[in-house]
Amino acid sequence: MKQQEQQLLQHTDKINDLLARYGVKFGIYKNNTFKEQLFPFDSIPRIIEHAEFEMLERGLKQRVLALNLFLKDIYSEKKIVKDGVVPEDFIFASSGYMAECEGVLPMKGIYSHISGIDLVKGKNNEWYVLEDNLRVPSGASYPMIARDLCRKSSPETFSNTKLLDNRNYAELLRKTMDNVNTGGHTVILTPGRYNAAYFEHSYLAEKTGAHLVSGSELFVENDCLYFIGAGGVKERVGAVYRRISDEYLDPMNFNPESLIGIPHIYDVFRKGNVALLNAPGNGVADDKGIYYFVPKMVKYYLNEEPVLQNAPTYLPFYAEDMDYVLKHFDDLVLKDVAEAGGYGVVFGNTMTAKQKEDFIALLKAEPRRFIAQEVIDFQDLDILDEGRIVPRKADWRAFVLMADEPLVWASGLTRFSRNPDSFIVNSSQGGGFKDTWVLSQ
Amino acid sequence: MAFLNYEYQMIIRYSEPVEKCYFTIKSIPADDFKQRSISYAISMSPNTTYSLGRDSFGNAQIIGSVAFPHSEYIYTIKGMVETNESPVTGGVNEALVGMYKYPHGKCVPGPKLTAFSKSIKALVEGCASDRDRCLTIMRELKKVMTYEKGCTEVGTSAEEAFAGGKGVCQDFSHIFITMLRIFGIPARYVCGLIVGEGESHAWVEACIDGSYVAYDPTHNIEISDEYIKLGVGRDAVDCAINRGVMWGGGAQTQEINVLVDKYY
Repeated sequence: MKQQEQQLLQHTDKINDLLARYGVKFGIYKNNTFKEQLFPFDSIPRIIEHAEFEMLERGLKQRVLALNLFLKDIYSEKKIVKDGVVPEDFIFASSGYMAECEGVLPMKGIYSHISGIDLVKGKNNEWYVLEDNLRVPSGASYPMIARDLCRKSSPETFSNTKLLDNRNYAELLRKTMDNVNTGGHTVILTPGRYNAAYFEHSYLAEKTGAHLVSGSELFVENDCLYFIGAGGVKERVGAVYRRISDEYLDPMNFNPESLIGIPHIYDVFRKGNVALLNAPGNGVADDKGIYYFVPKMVKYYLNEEPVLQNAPTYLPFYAEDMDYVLKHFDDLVLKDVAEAGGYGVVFGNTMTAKQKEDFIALLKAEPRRFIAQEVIDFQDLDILDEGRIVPRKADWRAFVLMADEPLVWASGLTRFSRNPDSFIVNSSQGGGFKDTWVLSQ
Repeated sequence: MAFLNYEYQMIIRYSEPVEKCYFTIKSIPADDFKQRSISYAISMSPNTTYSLGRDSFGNAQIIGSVAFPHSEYIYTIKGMVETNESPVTGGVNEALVGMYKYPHGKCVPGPKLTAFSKSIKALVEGCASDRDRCLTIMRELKKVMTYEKGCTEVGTSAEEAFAGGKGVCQDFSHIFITMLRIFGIPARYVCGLIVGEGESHAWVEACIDGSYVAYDPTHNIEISDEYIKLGVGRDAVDCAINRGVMWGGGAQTQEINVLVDKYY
């Protein structure tokens, strides 16, 4: 393996140049200005052994199945609440719960068609799920294009290594979209070129053969969704892979101020005349507070033991957990359930006495707002930093697609922190990414 | 028991033609323990196609668009409803009551409402039943809020209206809902029509012992047989009679005409 990695190393600069030329960027807003940044690629891959992947695959399928059943339950009978497994505070007081979605059953009962599950591998070789992303998880395009460019730069590396081909993502995604299509075209709906993931939207559209559209190109008429195709002809749309968040999707049903949404699109969905991927309302299942309950959901809905574990998590909402959190404050990481993207995360041991006092006061006043977790000492991966190989923290986002059955993409996005002292790997915080190799035997 | 003949008309005039508009109208009375819709008829000008559906709060909705330039839009619904005198309006669907327990939208308490709840806490907790609690909160609210038009707007929140001490039926209802939820009584907003009022009205349904009981905090009473419920939601936004998006149109003025006649 080492020799093959060596070959790739020599190609680092070349691949980064190509990525820049192909426009593989993400945008960020800093001080109110929009800036596009390259997403630095490190050519030393993360390697996942075959047997290890089989375990992960089982666990991810199980987890995503349970999360889908949870969403279906929450927007209908709420048995899991009635049975006392999840307290209702964690549903109705969650910003991700959308009453506007009550009683609306998506096509084939699928809520999360594309799920991004974030995991880390601890120094004890155990994997832990850190976060479920069931709204508009992004990032699949980066490993897709990186693998493609690596293969071109160093074909011998790939002919000599027995790893699973990951070039099927577009095909799997297309299958996922077609599975729920109600009859008509498939489109990818982008908020536009000033969105952080615009590169990805256009790349996925190109690779899946879907139309890339903005909200102003779609309209509703007689309970159906249309767009004006080539030649000015009105064409029916049957599936929308929307990369717009729920609140901006439809000014008639959600945020009335939205200018990028499509009036009445949710009413078309409600009547079963178009598929929306992912379904609106999923935020209630990937809330940091709900995360705590996911292993319980696996048992509740599937009657199985969870294959994948969470990082040990405490809910200050429960008195005994609050006691534990106060006693072990310095050993824990605290997360604000309403924040995402690496924001609202604080480590107990980095606070000053005053900060700690203020935080504990807030924690006691709003216990539901926070979760506390043991700091997982996760494994470092080697990266090439200015000519030297250095260890850095890295996570892994697995993509699980739900067609008739859940499918785990034999790849995923490995992100790393470029800061040696940081555990936070989010691209919005300046991290880089790697290819992920899943060995075929 | 009473029969109520009603007519609700909305006229929107634009200073310049609107190229296209989309609308969702929630104004068709649904049947419950207290009311039964006997007949209704809808008319729209300009004449356009629309469809009927139901939102997640259970309200009937009329969905449509006018896809050509127009400078006036008129919507009219006329109908007849049979009502009874009990303030109990219906049974409670357990799965759908949770959304009415927590602060949301216009009904989020701030410092003023929190302080008010504390000031009446002993009084409320001393009540023998939830219905007494509702009446007590409503009575205490009436002591500190004055009905006055023009002091608040459609977008005013419960906290803002309470801080100003004045408001209209929407504000009274938002504040009352916020207070009921603070005291652990699930509550929802009702948009509707009443006898003797030239525009739409708002009141509140509280979930008590498995039923919804309706209170009109503006008038400090349990509702009578002179009320027609058109829609419910967590706050006024969820059940607004009209919601629209339009392109162009310049300035717009809205005229609402409501007529409700009572027969025995």
